[in-house]
Amino acid sequence: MAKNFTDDIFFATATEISTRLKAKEFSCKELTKAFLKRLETLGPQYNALAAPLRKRAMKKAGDVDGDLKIGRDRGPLHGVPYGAKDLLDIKGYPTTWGAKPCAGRVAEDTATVIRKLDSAGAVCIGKLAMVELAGGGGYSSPAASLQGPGLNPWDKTRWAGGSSSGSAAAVAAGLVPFALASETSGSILTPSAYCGVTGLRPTYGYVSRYGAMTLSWTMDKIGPMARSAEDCGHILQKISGGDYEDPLSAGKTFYYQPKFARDFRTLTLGFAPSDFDESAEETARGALREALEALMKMGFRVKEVELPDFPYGAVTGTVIDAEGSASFEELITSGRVDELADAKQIAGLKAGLEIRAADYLRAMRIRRLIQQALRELFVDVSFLVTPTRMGPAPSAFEPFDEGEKDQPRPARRGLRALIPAGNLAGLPALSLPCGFAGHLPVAISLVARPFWENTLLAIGTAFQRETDWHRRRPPAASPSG
Amino acid sequence: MAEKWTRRDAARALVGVTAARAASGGQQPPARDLLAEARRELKETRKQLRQVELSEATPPAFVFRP
Repeated sequence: MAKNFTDDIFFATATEISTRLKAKEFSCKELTKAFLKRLETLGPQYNALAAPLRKRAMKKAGDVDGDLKIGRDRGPLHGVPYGAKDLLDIKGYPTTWGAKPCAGRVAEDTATVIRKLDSAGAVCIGKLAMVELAGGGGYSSPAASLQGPGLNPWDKTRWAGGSSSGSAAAVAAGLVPFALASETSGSILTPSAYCGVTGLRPTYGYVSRYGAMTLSWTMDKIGPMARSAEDCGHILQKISGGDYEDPLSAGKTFYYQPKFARDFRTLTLGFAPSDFDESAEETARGALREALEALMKMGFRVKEVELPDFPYGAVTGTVIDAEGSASFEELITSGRVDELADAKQIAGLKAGLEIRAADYLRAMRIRRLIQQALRELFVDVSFLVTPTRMGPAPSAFEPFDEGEKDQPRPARRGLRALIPAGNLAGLPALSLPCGFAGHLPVAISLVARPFWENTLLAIGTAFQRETDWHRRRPPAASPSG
Repeated sequence: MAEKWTRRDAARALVGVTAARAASGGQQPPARDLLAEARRELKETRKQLRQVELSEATPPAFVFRP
């Protein structure tokens, strides 16, 4: 008889699922089958599913059941289903990069992160939708995706965020307990915030990009989206580590050590009041301020800070556009780029080939100054707190710049540009759901110096012990919804 | 061996992109105009980059480690 799974499993953390699996409440095959059915049924409703991997997943699940039968335990992800952004290769399977001209692309090898999760006994049940080419060239609307606009499980008229749209929507809707996503500048943090899930952008170089689509060699990072900071820690431990196949790997492995967190009284929280008063949209201010206050009650020293003055947008744009257009040069010069869904993105990719070497190098030299300035900032503060996004998810069916045109620019800089700044400097960031603006989730981000993930995760876990925002479920995430 | 969804995926690609184009507002401006716009943006970006005093700054190491 088929096992009857309910929301308490579909919305459980990976760690909880693993514990129940090992307690033999159900088999991995039963669990995988249930999640597959849910992903295949509900995934398309959010335009979140690129492709289910039913046969491969059921085979892996059978292997896990065999392992468990003989008492072999591969850790907290053993037997846990997950989804992967459709820019991660799995040998013999198409990886479309969310783009029509790449729809027939079949991977010749398996990405290191997938291999590592295979070894940890996690079961990949599907490839998840994304913005085409992870947004390379600059897209103009949520519709820039092979599957159509990523729809938000909290409200299907709103965007799931990008570029890891499907990863965030699938975790939020309880279609997978966790997902792999990637960030070049905002693609983990933004969808995590809009969909109300916990997202971790690891330090640049911690996680191998071998087998992942390249948008920017010097900025791409792969990281997890999950139901808790704790899960993100377990996942990062499994996917991090040096890899000769990724020449820009930092050669370090992350060991999740929640029991050895620093005493919070020795840490200094840095924040900019203007982020919460002026920059944040009015509907989001209440939740964001409450989250900041909850953090402040945890015993940290507190210091007001501001980002150093640099043209972060121009530097990020130049680096990503130059590297992205170089990475997709063959697609652009062959003319197949014209098959993309977003006309602005097509133009942006073409123009990117015209960026002069001197301009790219100038951007990289400024980037060095930014790294130095941020290093100095972290002498006085241990971590920074800022709203992940200044408001909730925008419409899924309108171009981005509509409606933003008339917004007055806040007088103070604050930490508003922390997404591009943190990405340029390769810093880790953790996005935590922290409440709602109306019916839509909002989130705060914690950002620290390189390789300080354990501290960020300890703070995130403490915050999630005090609050239950990460446990909230979207009302529409049911088969009838 | 790939599962039987390659062909389905290709079909979905056509449906998806058509739907995506429709959702983005139907008629898009001619690509030539957008290219000119993108070039103008590059020029503006270049101006912003030129305003930063670089002194002796070098680019980050090729094997970039934070």
